Amino acid sequence: MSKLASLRETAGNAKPVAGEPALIPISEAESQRFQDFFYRKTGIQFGPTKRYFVDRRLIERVTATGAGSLNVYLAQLRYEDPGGQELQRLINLMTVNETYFYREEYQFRCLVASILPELVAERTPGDQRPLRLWSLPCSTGEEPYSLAIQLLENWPDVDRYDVEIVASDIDTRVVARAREGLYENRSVQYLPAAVKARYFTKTSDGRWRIADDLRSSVHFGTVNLSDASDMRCHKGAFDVVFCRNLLIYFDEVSSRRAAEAIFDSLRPGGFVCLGHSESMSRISSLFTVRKFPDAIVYQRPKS
Amino acid sequence: MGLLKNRETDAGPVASVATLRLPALLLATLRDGPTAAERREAALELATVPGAARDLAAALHEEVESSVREAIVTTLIVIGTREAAAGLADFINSDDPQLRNLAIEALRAIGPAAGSQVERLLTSPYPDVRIFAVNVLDAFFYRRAQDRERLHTILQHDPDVNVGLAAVEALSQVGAPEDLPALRAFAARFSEHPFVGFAVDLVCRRAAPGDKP
Repeated sequence: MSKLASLRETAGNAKPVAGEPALIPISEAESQRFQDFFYRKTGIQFGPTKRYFVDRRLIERVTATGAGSLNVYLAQLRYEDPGGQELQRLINLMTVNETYFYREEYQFRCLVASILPELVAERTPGDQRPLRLWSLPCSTGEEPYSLAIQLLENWPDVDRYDVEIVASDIDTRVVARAREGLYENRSVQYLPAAVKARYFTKTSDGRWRIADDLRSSVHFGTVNLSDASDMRCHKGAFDVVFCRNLLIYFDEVSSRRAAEAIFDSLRPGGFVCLGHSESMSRISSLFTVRKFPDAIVYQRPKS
Repeated sequence: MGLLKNRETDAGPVASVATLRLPALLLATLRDGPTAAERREAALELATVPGAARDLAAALHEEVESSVREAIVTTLIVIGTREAAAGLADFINSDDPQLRNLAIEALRAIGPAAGSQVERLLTSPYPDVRIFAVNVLDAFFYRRAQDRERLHTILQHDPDVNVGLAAVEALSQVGAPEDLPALRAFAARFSEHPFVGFAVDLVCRRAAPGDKP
């Protein structure tokens, strides 16, 4: 469930919008310099094929801030944005978010059929800690809410344990939308009708509002996986991390650092689920590969 | 029991204070820390100390714990200087396959800053080391014309057929018409090996679809 899932498609499909502000020229070298800067801040690389996508959004911010030119804008970002608000607006704009409920459902099946039973079986008697699951990046909330629904629907032991679902994203706007919990038809199209009826109400404008009970069961926040101090807050805190379709946008060194950060965020013996096209084994040997009937996932060694 | 509710008063996780430790202390922990977790943490923190490359490489020689090795290598890639590349290049010849593979991956990730080390490895008397060096060159040679020429030299002169085949493989994805003379020269030098002709023909067809041998 990726915050960046549609980046590639959107980059290819982006079309000029009527009434767009007059174009501010951006040379190839300037675009490259910006991409280097953005990469250092976020670990996200675009590459030459995304140039149109990147430049178009960059011009939007140069225009909106009244900087007038890319050089002035970049100088402002570096020296006149101590609180990072403009950088955050830029990150929000550059990271496109498209996902849906129950995406890559086999991993949720794996969670309730294999991962959670193993985690609770290995607990020492009397261990009252809540099981903690982390959806990172959580985009507009479809993944963490899917986690909650899957647990309630399909995990018979859900009432025997406390479960805390934490959901984080680098993009403050999508986190706000996730908290709101209002979805288009497209997002809920793969949910069984009975599930939809149980956890959503249809609004007068044809959208789907998630039940308040569910909304209050997910703890939302903002996190940058490439920021060591952000990640330090979550050290050793989680039993399972869902980090799907994010690492494919990282280069080798960012992927390795992300793998180290995810390792740190897990308790010993905790699991990480990646997207179907991603492989932790290609990034790092920190994790043990676990082949369950429904999915291949990765485990932080127990000791 | 069940799903825990979001407490309105919950301010979220409390940020741990980022304790900046002195490089000397980090290096001492990396060398002598009693637990793998401590040594790994020190290794990751040293990413902000570019001058630590040599000490990190030295620690990699002694370290047996896989998670700490991974962290040291991650940090050496982040540092990414010639010195970091030099430290990693020593492991290409290691008997330990984990260290050898980590070194190849890391030098590939470091890219052209590892160029002079790759050049040194390509002159090794051991064919295996030269093959690994070609595997590294493969990751970044397309950025620089001189690396493409280096592959041509290997094809034309390296005495070991397997080193030449590694160069053919490197060109299999990004071969261009300018590579054809060197590829053909390699096929001629090792014409007694049918597989060489087969591999070269395949790459030539990809590099220049209309060209006849």
